[in-house]
Amino acid sequence: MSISEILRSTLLIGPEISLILTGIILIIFDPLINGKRKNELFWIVLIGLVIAFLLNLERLHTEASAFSGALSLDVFSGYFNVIFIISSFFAVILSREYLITMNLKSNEYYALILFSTSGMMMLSSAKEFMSIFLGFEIMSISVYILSGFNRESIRSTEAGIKYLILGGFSSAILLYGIALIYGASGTIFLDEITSKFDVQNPLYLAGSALIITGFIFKIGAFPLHQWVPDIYEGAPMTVTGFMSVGVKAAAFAILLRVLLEGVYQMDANLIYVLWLISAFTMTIGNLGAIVQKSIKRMLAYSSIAHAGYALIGVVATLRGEEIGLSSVLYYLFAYTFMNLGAFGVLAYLSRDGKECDNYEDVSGLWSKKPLIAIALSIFLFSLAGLPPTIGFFAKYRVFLSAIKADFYWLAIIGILNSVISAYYYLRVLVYAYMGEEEVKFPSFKPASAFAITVLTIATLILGIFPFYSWDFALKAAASFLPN
Amino acid sequence: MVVGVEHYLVLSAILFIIGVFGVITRKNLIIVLMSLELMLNAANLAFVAFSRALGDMTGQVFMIMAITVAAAEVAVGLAFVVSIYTHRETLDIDVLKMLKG
Repeated sequence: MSISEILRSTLLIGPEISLILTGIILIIFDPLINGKRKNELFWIVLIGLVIAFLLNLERLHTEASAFSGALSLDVFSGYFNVIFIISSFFAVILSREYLITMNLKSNEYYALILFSTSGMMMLSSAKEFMSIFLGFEIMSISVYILSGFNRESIRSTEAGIKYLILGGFSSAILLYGIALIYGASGTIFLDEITSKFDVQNPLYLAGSALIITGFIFKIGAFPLHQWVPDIYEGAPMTVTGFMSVGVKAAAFAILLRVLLEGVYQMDANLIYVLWLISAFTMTIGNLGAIVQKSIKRMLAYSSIAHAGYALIGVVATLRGEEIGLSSVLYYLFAYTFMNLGAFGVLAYLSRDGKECDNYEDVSGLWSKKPLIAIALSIFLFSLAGLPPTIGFFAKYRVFLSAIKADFYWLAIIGILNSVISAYYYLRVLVYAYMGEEEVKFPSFKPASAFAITVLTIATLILGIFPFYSWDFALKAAASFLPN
Repeated sequence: MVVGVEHYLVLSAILFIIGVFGVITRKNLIIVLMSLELMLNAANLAFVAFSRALGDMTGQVFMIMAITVAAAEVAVGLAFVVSIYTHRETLDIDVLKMLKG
């Protein structure tokens, strides 16, 4: 690789560089600034994210390859980068007051969110296993620290170490799988591996099984979903929101790329394995969510269920149904707004170092904070898939893709599950609108209120007029599929 | 006896399995972290063995990257272990049961 190729490639990865530079600036300037003004570095984070967003717009209509083909900067990666940047943008805004409430340091926190986002962006464009592995680890290690960020709280520390051990375990499995694939094919580039793939060779089969296992873990799908509730419950609220949308979308991005561009096109049985995984993930997530006493843990189980819904689209895509891919992409996009919004409301309602966690904690919300109650109901309606929200349209597309690919049972299981899910989402609203316990709510928080307002409007407007954003997903999917 | 790539592979598979069992069964957090390292290093061994057998440098570069990542991971892990110890004064993994539904 020549110097000019390195320079050319470096110019192409502007969004990643702007996030990493912003993170480094935060870490350098944090000790230099004293006292209360430390919090003002928040604005630099927002500027960095906006610059990354603007630089990323370039990717939405061009296609380039950087670092000798290691990264493919196509519309697909641009689309996912939009999801990542939006999720970290709102997570940062929601965190501003949440961190003050919980008495946590802010600048390291923001820097870690930015580093983690840059890892996700690397993952969404990676086309060979070294970038995939490094992207995974840049993303994951930052998120491990974030989940254990509240050092005073034993729960948060526990979530951090559990995530680290289980995440490290899955990374090691992934790495071993990559080693086997490398040994069998002599290359780590996805397209070259595809051309050399040989079903008879046990190294390929063992390697791809281990790699898929690693991805399934990160998505939090059955049978490797048990870590999700514990870690989502223990991590700080805004981190949970960020993890449940960002990390999940990144894991889906790389799963799709490896499945569609890499090795696994040939194996027809894989579709049925993913079919089962999808059905079980939905069902187990929903059944688990019903019995929870904590809203945060309920949302953790619901995020398992949503991974199952998105997997329906993956299964349809593997069957060759083009609308499947765009429906997965759209589902992840929609999920970003509604889930981050739900966690944002809970972060808003946290006060004096105590998180808004149990169902009783939202009791009587409607009579004291009607606007927040309305926002919460819109997010929960959207998660339950009721019209006219974005969640309805996304779910409709995913189920439609399953029906088009002749997976009727999968669509039926999905629809039944989303009926069950309405029970536990609406149960929160029963407490919020009809609860009579005396709960103290925090005073007005301008930044979080702004973020929640924008997310509410997006959830509604994109639900009523979905076609512009849907076209965007179609375009990303079309650029990615070979024909 | 000529030591071929198969021998290295068998060794790395054994190390990997020892690591998996260590993570699953051991009670001490430090030992769990060590077992995690063992799993990562088993993969590294496989990389180097394949790299040598194929006459291709990619595997060795990958191994160096993986070692860097493992170092970062264990640094974070030890920081958590210290934090757990200051809270609970024990490293038994059974103290990690605050989070339950």
